[in-house]
Amino acid sequence: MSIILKGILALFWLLLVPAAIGILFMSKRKDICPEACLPFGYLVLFSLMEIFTLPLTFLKAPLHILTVLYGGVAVLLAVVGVVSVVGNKEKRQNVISVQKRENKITFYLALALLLIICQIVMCALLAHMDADDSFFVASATTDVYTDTIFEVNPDTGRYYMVLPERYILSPFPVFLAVVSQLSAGLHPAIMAHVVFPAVFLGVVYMVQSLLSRCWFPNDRKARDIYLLLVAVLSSFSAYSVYNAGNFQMVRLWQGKAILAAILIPMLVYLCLTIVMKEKAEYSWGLMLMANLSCCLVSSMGIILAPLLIGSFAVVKLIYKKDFTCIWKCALCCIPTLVLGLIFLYVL
Amino acid sequence: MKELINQILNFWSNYWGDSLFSYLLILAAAYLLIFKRKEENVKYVLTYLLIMLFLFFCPLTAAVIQKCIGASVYWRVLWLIPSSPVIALAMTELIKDHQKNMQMLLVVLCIGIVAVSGKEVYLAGNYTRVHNYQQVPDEVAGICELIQADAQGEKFTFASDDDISSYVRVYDPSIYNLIGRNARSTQGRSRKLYYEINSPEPDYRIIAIGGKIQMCNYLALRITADEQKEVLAEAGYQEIGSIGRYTIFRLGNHVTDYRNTKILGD
Repeated sequence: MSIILKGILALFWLLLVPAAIGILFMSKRKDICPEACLPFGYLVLFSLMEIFTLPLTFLKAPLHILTVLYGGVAVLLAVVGVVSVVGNKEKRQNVISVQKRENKITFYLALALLLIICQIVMCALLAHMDADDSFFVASATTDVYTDTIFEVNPDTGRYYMVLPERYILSPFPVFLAVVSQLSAGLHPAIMAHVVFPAVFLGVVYMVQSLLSRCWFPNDRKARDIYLLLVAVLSSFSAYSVYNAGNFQMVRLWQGKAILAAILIPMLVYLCLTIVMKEKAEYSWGLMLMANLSCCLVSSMGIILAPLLIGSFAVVKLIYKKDFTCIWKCALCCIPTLVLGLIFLYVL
Repeated sequence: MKELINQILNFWSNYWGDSLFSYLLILAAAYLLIFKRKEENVKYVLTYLLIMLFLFFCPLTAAVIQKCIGASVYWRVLWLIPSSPVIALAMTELIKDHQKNMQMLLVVLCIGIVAVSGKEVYLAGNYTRVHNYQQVPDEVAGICELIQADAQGEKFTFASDDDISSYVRVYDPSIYNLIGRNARSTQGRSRKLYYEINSPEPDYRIIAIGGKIQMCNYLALRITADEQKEVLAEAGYQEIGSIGRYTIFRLGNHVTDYRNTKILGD
């Protein structure tokens, strides 16, 4: 199959499927945020990947089993998402009215979009060499080549003597391998270096756009200026190799970069709209899935996500004296607890 | 304790590099605190920012967090500080209520401040052009293609320095890398070979003998003198071509002449 067809398939799995799944979380809201669909869809897909991959790794299942399982459930959820809009007159009208309301492109939005498109072209078409790929991308190429999950050492090609305990709890390379397989075997390195930055940079700014709704709920122009400034800040983030903006701009195919650029800002947004509200704007399930997603992308996420959620719980305690949110936040951090126990007692 | 505090301060200063972004963040937070503190979400995010800064700088909490994530990557806690959103939020608050022309002027001014404070990602030399879809160094792609053509479908072992071996299996996972990146998956003789190949002044005799003992089918090395090739030839390594700065050698007349069955399994 030609590389273009594989690319189109990749966009189906990385844009259409998550966006359709994300619609499911809009059902309760009249003021649908179109830019929320894709990030929310990814929270579901990342969570599914974490839940499916862990047991299959320990069972030494072949990669194709995981690919079929993930692909099947993802398509099923996407179909449910589409049907939930098509089959519901009220929701359909909501979507149409949102389209009418949101499709005006202001001057500042046009500037922001232009800059974002330039960033996407640069990140997708130019190469950034990062030796960490010898694990993160080579794990995916190895898993695809050997049809295994974390059984073969990506450094050498030999079977692992012991499981790589530092990595198997955060199997983001397996996500890369599975999506590559679903895209008719598109080489994982092409998927990682070309497709992922293009897609995930878009998601980065969708999350920032969601945050802008928290800052300026009724001022569209201010939201557009905010988005432009955030994009400019990212463009000038090469001042150190440690900051989140630099990770976002140069290696967005690695799990830790997705944690820094997408999932942590997403968690801030969810905390502002779920934890800090009297009546949560979204389901607490999203918060749980955001935590699970952090666990998938990086072992760092297993610790950082609860730290963030816990800090917001303290903020709520300070301002609202609300103790009930503590146990809800604690429940959302269950994945961290489970993975911690696996790390201590199973690995 | 003093050491830990110094370490925390070092992480903070390395995180911001030589930029002015940390000062921008402080200015932005101060502006929001003075003028916008009554807005709910602003109030919450500023309090969150303070809590995170406390957690990061307090030696007690830092010690606990470092136990969990590792001391060497403690700087990643700074990812939890929403620096870009807070700076952009403060700037937008400053800009949004002005009239059209003034607004545009302020936007340009803010972009200028950000440009002066930071460093542009492209101009900082983060990107290069390569001529393969996988976006690995062109030398890696060329070496892999050359060796695969020579091996004619047979399995083989390979060794090179970190610049090549880090990306070899990203490009072609069918290659058995005798020494992976940083030798983290190798031990004994392979590790010795790793250090020699990656040494600033490698001893080609040690590389040749070490490669032969381990039946490493292909070597990709930087050759700077003809004597180095002679040393490799004495051990049975024949030159099959060169790609960029690297010359590629095969052990024996054919890839099947030497088989490391422990690795290749046949």
